[in-house]
Amino acid sequence: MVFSSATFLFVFLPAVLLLYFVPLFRDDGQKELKKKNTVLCISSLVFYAWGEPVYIVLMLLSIFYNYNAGIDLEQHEDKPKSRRRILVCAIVFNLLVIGFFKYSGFVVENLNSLFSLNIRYEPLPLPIGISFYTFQVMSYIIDIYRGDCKTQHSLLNFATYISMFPQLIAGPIVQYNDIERFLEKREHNVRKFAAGSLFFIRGLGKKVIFANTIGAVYTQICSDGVSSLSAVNAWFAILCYTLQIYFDFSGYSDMAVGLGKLFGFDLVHNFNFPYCATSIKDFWSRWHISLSSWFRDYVYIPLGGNRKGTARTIFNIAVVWTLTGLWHGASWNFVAWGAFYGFLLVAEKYIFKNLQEKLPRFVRRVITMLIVIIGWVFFSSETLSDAGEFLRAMFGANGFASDNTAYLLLNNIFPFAVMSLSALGFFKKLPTLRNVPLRLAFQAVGYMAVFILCIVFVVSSTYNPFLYFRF
Amino acid sequence: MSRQRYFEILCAVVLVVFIGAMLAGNAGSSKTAQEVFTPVTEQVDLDSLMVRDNTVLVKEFSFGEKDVENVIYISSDSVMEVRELLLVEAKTSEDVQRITELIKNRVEAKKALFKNYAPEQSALLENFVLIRKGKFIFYTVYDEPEKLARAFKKAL
Repeated sequence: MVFSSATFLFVFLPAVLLLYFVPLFRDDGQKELKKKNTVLCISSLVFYAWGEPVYIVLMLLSIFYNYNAGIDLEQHEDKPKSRRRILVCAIVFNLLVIGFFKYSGFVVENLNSLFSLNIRYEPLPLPIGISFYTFQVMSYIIDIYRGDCKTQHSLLNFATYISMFPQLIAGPIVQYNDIERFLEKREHNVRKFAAGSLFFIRGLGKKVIFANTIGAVYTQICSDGVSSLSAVNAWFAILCYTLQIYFDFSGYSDMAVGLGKLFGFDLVHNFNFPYCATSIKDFWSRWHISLSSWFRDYVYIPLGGNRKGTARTIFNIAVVWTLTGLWHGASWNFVAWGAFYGFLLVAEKYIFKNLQEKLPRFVRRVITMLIVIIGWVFFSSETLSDAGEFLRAMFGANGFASDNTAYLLLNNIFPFAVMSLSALGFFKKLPTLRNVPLRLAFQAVGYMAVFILCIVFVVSSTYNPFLYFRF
Repeated sequence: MSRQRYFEILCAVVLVVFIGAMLAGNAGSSKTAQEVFTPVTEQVDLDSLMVRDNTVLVKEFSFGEKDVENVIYISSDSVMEVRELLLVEAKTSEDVQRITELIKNRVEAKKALFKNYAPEQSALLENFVLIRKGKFIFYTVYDEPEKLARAFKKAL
């Protein structure tokens, strides 16, 4: 089930909200919170089981194992060797889960082609959201080992943290430290509920109105294959994809943050106008922030970060970015995409730092944007050779323009321009009304209009892709 | 050994058994696409439905011939007719997942579209059948979807 489906909007969400907010224990706050967590946990498991019921087993195993490992770590507080063994076992267990379901096909495929073997293997379907919840659960275990957080003794609270449906299928990756306090005590009030609703509508609008519209243009341009794409069409296609992936992913994140607020949680924000970045480092501090933070906290810093000399820093960056690429999908084009950013970050840090600082801000933004767009070619392609073919098309291998180029541009230039301005934060900079009641009235009407438009799109359009099946 | 340790070992054992069971259940077919598709399409009434080209496929499902190994899509050219058959041989398991999601999204959207003003079409949509086996995907909205599903399973 996806947030932008009619089933979620009109059946699942209203039913869960109703069950969640109907008070059972008016005079006992703790019992009421327990009931709320129970509703949230069970509904999250139902949400997860909707598409692929069998994989609920995997999630339950992950919950039970890591819950017990957390308590086990606490019980061996004064035995460092045992603690290390428990940590290693937990990490191996979690990596086995994600490794087998996500990467075994990739490994077998490469072994077959490298050593001319013929290992027969039917890869299993990938459990949706496995990378998100596995990373969350690993953050919990590592934080307990380091002594950065307390063990969660309530299985219900722990299961709620791991399975919470608002962030289950497309993030953000919520570190246990950030959510621990909300599991024990959280506020529900009209102000928070209203803020959550606005976030959710904004995210839904980004996904349904913007991402799906511009995504359909990208799909249409590429439908006849890359081999016949002219340069202008190829550039326009990848620009459309650049907008689609941003609005789709940040839309899902906004919906997650909004849903979190409806249920009393403050989830971390995952995007901060990444296409306004002035460097690659800046881009990654604005794009999928929760993933960058995870790799920084649990891989880069434990490896030594930048404290062990230049060579070691470069090695650490290479490791982090290869893993970041692989996290996005088991394919060489994702590895190349990660390596591409690793290389650029090293170059930025050690070669171009002085030059970069001298360039005007606008030029830096343009350069960064061009690099990001080239990066999306690797990300959007099925294979490395497809990416190469697309890049050749962008630089004129199939001619400058084709018969349909003018039609294509004229037909789509208006939505493209509006979305580009929105992605660059132009509308956020517009002056706001000083009269507060009038401004609120305008906002209310605006959000209502966006919501109605979203409903129209949801019920009338069959194009509603889900981009994170690989994550 | 602590109770927690027992639970951890138990979880690890169940995980291995689960993976084994999943692998056994997912064993695909060694047949070619032609061998699987033909017996199914022979069951379809091609007087009212027709084999559609790549443009229609992309418009309806958001993926095209280049994204899969083999595909056949049969539907009506009337917008008020929901009967259709889609047979796909995907390139990878990720594609199986992606295409399955796209089909589910499409069914959801179509159900919402026909719900209030075309009860007969809506009833057909409610009985849609979606099966995946290995790299093959079968999806149909039809008068007797089970008949086509049986032909698909038999052909594998």
